[in-house]
Amino acid sequence: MKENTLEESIINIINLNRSYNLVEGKQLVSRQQIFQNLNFSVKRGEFVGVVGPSGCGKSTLLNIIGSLDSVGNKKYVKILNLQNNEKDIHIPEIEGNGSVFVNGQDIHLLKGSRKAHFINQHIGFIFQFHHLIPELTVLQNVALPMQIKGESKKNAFQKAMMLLKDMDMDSHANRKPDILSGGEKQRVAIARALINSPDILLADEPTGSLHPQFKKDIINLFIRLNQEKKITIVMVTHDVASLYNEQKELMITRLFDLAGSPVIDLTDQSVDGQTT
Amino acid sequence: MIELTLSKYLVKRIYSILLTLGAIIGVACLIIILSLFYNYYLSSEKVFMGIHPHIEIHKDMTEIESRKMIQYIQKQIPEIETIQPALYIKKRAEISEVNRTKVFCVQQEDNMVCHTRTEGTGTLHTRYGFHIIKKQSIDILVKGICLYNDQPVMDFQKLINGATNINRIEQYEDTNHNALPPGFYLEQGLFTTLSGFYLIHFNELEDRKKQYWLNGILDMGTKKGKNPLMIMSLDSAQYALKMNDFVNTIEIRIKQPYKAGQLTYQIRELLSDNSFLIENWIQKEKASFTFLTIIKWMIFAIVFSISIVAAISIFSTLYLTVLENQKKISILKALGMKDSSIYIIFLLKTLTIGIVSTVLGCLSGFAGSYGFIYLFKENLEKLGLENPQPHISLNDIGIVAGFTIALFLITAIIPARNAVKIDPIEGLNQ
Repeated sequence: MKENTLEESIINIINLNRSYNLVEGKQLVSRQQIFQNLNFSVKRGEFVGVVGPSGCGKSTLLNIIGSLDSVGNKKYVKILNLQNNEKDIHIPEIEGNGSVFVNGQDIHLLKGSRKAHFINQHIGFIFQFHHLIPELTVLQNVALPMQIKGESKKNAFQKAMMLLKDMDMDSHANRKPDILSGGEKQRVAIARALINSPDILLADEPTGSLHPQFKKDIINLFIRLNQEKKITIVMVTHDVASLYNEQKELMITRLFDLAGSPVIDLTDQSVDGQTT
Repeated sequence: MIELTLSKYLVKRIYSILLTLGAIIGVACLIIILSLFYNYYLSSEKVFMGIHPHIEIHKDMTEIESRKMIQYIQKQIPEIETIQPALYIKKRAEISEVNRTKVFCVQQEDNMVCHTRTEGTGTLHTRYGFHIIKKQSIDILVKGICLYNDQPVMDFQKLINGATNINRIEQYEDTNHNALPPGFYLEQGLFTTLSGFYLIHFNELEDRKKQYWLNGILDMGTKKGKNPLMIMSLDSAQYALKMNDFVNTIEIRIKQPYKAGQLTYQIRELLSDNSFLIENWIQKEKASFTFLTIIKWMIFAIVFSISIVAAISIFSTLYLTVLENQKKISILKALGMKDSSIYIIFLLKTLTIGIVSTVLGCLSGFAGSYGFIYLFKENLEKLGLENPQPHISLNDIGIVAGFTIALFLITAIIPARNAVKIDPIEGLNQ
């Protein structure tokens, strides 16, 4: 994998480690390593796909990049100190370390309102199950991040309407999300993620719950956003095939497999695993 | 404000309605209790204070000496409303318990002789007279006070549960031909064991057998200790007890009765003479005052207990709301909502409920007070509340409103904190 410099990369992960300690009855039962000295970077304007088997840490990686999850140790539990029968010791259920830079910012240093501000301004999240707020209308859902930022309702609704037009969803603006189809909901979620013009779009299995008919539409939408608006996109997916066109060409900038350490660059491989 | 919009959606409507209803009922009950208690407090104050002036200065002196002292004190202390001489004395009296009856009286020379049956000749006049049932000699506390234009210095026009009735009596002997001694007729109300009609005779009146009359207003107050209390005009007292020009008390009423303690001290400093005994109503009615205070604290304790229950109810509703909305809160965090904004969402919701329920609760309480008093006026008067009215001051409303809103806000803090601590990843995976 070509190493990008810190200056060129919008995302730079350096020696990221993450493991889970399974504790039962105050005893450490097992230890599962997710990342081991993971080094990973994404250039500005790239559309990067991340694949891998279940449990390899794809969503975790996305959550860390997006500051929803932290890099360091957390969730301390007590276990018996079997070695010398003294007091119980505390160990973290989730162990981790490393450095993650997003848009030049070490996200480990972000706390409280600075972290919230960072997420709101620089990151756009798209989830597998869209996570729209059912009590709000489509327009209100899309405008929400801009209102959180502090913009007026009028400006937020104006921009939200523009985005919905772009997504061909403007006719549904005053409807509640419940009546929309899966594909339509995901379009609304994408519009919501774009409203604050984020630097990075993080999409966690955005087509995972969709009918095949809609999967292609969503992928094409992402490609269009990446090409037209030059938005950096990192997308986690199980469905590798959807990233290739009919000519079996990769439609995105780069593709990585997170299964091993170091990560495997699949960019130059064809959909059937052959090197192109 | 986005937090205000979101606060509408995070708490289920049914919870909001139930919380608001509960708070309205609570606030209304509080206002009604305060209003009724204030009636009781006023009436009790009237009873306890009505019989005594706010401050008493005791010393034997002539009326002229007392007037000089009154002038001096009144100049120095502007808080005084009225200040008058009085006579407080304990006297032995003969009290005859009587039945009122119709008698027939005949003018005989200078006298009017009355009987239950017609006897003798002459023009018969029908009068109400007395039939003595029993007599007893007893010590009575007599207060002779100053009257202005037939109005008492203190308001004794009506006793609680008692009555006053002044009749001119023209009778020398009762229906059993017992000589009626010169004295005072009175009716007595509820507060002493002497209940009914009585004739009061002082030994000093022995030589005035011709006629006896009442001068001014004669009331029997509450029984103090084991002696009945008689309050009459100063002139009557001086006349009845042969103590002309003699006074031994200066009665003072002040504009703010609860400052009696402070002013007592001031007067003591002013007079700087240890021969004066100066007392105030708070000292004298300490037991009653303490009783009122205990009642007040009991009401607060009841209210406090109700508030604890209310607080638990609000807390558990909000706690449940946070549990139910973990996903939504996680979505908001994933969109970059600050922790403080999440706090504000919950606090705004409880503040809205608090304000709405306080306003509606106060209005309901006000209406409820009027309704309660209107429906139960007779019963309340029987219990001793004189002319009950809804008494709700802005102060009371302020306290109730402040307390309710504060309660809502305080109980929202922990659930709001729990909302802030939600792990967005766990919440989104629900």
